[in-house]
Amino acid sequence: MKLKSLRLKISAAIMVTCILISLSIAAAMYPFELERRQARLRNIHLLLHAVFDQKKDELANEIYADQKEALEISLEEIQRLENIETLFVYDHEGKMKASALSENFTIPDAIKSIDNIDTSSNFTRFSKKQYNQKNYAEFFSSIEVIGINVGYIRILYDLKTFQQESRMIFLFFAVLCLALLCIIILLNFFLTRSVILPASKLRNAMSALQEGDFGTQVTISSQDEIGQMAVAFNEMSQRLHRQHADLTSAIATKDAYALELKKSNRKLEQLNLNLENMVQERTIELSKSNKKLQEEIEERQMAYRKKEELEQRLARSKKMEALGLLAGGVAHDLNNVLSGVVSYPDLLLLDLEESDPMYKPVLTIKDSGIKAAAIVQDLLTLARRGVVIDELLNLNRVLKEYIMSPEHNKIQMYHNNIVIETNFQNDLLNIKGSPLHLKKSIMNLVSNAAEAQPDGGTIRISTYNRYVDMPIRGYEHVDEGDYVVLEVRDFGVGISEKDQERIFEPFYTKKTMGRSGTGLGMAVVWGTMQDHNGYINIKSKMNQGTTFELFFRQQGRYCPRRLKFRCSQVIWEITKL
Amino acid sequence: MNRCMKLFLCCFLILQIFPKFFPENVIANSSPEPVNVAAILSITGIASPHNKPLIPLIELAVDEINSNGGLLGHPLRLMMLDNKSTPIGSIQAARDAVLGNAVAVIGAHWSSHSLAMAPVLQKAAIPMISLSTNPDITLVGDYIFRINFNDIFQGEMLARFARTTLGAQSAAVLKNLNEAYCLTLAKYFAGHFRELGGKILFESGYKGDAVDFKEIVSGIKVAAPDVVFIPGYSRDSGFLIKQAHMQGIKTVFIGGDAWDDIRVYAGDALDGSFCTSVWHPRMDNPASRHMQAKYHQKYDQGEIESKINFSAVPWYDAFMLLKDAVKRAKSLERADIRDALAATREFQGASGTVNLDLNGDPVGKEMVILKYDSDTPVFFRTLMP
Repeated sequence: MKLKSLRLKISAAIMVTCILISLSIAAAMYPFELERRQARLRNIHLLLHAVFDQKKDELANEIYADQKEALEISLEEIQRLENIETLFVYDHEGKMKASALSENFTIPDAIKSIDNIDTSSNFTRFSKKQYNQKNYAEFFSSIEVIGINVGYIRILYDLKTFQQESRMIFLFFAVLCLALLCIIILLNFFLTRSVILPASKLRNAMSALQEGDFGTQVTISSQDEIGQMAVAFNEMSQRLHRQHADLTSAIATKDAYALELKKSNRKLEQLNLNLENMVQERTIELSKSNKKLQEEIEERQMAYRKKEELEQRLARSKKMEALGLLAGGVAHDLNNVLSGVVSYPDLLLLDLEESDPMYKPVLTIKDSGIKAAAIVQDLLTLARRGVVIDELLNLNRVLKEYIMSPEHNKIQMYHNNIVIETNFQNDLLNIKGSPLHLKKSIMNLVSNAAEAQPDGGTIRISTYNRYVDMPIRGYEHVDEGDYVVLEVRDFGVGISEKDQERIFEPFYTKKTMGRSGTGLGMAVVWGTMQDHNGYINIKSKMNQGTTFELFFRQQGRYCPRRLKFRCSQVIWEITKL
Repeated sequence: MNRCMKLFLCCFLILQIFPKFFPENVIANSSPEPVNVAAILSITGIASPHNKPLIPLIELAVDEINSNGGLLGHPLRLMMLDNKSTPIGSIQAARDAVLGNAVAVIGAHWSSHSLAMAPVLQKAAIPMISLSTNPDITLVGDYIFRINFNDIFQGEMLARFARTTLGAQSAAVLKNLNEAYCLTLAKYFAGHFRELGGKILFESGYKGDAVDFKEIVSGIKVAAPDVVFIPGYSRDSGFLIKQAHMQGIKTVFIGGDAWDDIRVYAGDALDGSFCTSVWHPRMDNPASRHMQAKYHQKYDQGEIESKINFSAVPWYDAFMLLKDAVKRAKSLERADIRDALAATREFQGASGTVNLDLNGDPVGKEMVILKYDSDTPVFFRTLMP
């Protein structure tokens, strides 16, 4: 059961505490009381035994000599001891010889004589007995001197005092309980007076306040915390009352103003509405102007970007052209010079045996000439002289031929930890171009891809048809149209953006000249793509690899099915015409 | 070990072993075997002040017997046994006498002691010569004898003395409840006093170890009798008399034959009192004179004359009677001694002539009345049965 009332809670707490205290005291005192009672009985036993021992010889002689009067006086002397109420002396046959009786003591039949007693045994018994509805401690002993059992003595010790002591203890506990009860009642009374009643008054006042009776006062005169709470409550109530009054008058005033305000609001609303209409119209006009302005800005931006691209392209082209012209000029003259270096060693070799000591030097001269010629060819290629791009070819075939070529084998042998993967589209459309230049370009791309993966890797060569529906703003601006794309992808170190800007410049290389390539590889690729009227797109991230996309204009017939996809995301849409 | 030492050891061993092969009497070369005679009295306890003064005359008697050839040539070996002043102690002492092969027992002095030990000795068939006055003692059996007068005689004589000689109309009778002697004597006195027309105005009893007699004295004071009969012993009677005197009681006190050293306890309050006695130096008979001469011979120290304890004289007579009985029996057998004792006629003792009747009681034993006027009780008169 939950105690909701504070009074009940306090009463319960006090009661439980007092009960616990009582029980604790009782539990602590009980063993002591038991021990005290036992000790008291032991003392009584000792006393009676001592008295008996002291008087034993005297009693024995008096019994033996049949000195009844002396016996009675001896018993009376023992009877003078406190609480020794009655004594009986019996002869050795168990018949009573003398007694010392207390007032109004009636000798019970049970102790008028001793029956069925073993006269041969010497004994002493101490027990609690009840005679004439009174409790006694009975000391019953045989009287034996020099082995002669002369009789018996029975001493009755009144346990009234003993019982009184026990009663006193019990009374003490009863008084203690009563005192605790009084304490409970007093505590309850004082707590009621000092805490509960004031709290109740306060609660009632708070309820009245809650009901709206502002200004309610509570009369609590005590100076304690509850009194202080009452004072604070009264002040609060007064304040609330004043505020309520002020508020009421303020509300009345406010109502009047509210009416005025309502009228003003209505006017304002109307004005607002008109204003909104005007604003809306103006906004529409402004939106239109904005839109127009935005379009003009976009157009200008697009034109500006286009201009930048064209300027970049022009600059690059001019640069390349300049470089190409320079290279071409040098290459042409050099080519003529090198013809002798290449051809005459052939003639010499015809006359030399392989074992001839001059064979190898001559062969070396020839190889060097060939290499120099290759460089010259590259330069010529770069100068864009003599490139035939009107041959209709299939890129897949060119690639397969390249893969089977010694040049590619050489690259594979040199980079034996590189895996070449090919993914050629089966129905790849044709293009117009020069297989030789194409192979050379492919070789340069594959060589660079292999060198970008010094610890091994994969070079993926792919071909596919592609329709570019929106211009690609990549490395180059790729216009709309149908293309055949050659993709060479590696997973190597990548090319930084700064290097991408200059990658196609002749002799711009990170590699050691002559050791791998001529420094003109990418320039050749650039020149080839220019000759083929194609585009190059580079996608590269540092340490993730590089993809070169070469876009060639398709020369195949119109195909009813086309794959359309964007650059940035792959969306496959098949339309059947 | 040298030769002398060896010789000594041999002799020692021989002397230890040799006697075992020969009875003592052979070795002693006809040296008579001692005869044990027990004297049972209170060496300790409340009666010891009354009994210890008896020992000198007992020893005198034994010495005299032994110096005159002992009992049929056998030296008398005295067994002094302590009964601790209690009847039960007396029983134990009697048992000790039996175990000690006593041919006879002399004692006890107090009646309650004699009453307790008599059945033991009767059962053991050892002749007992009691010094007590309780009439029931000799009724125990035919081995029990008495050498003093009994309380029937004493009580009657004292009652008559009080009535006729002292002219007492009334009396108070007090008794030591712990002693059969006191109870019996008081009973016979009171009975005879009444028979003689006297009135017993106050009767009371007290424990033998009592020291405070305030209540009794108050009772005496209220009763105001002519005489106060206190048949107690020296201690209790003396305290009572003194306390009564201190309370201003001027009556005459009369006692029995147990007031030996009462002056020690009563002091001057005793003056004017009377008591009985079994003997007085004025008893002029050959045995008395002989005993006195021997006593003074043995115990006087220079010019200081030793005082004979009156109550001890019958003890001396008892040993002499025993010697006489043994002589007449010509035997040391107990039964023979008993028969001889039972046939005692005209034995001349220091305390008077002893004729034993069929019960073993003396017939015609005189009783002395003493009066206390000085340190030594004065002979007043002799009463004959």
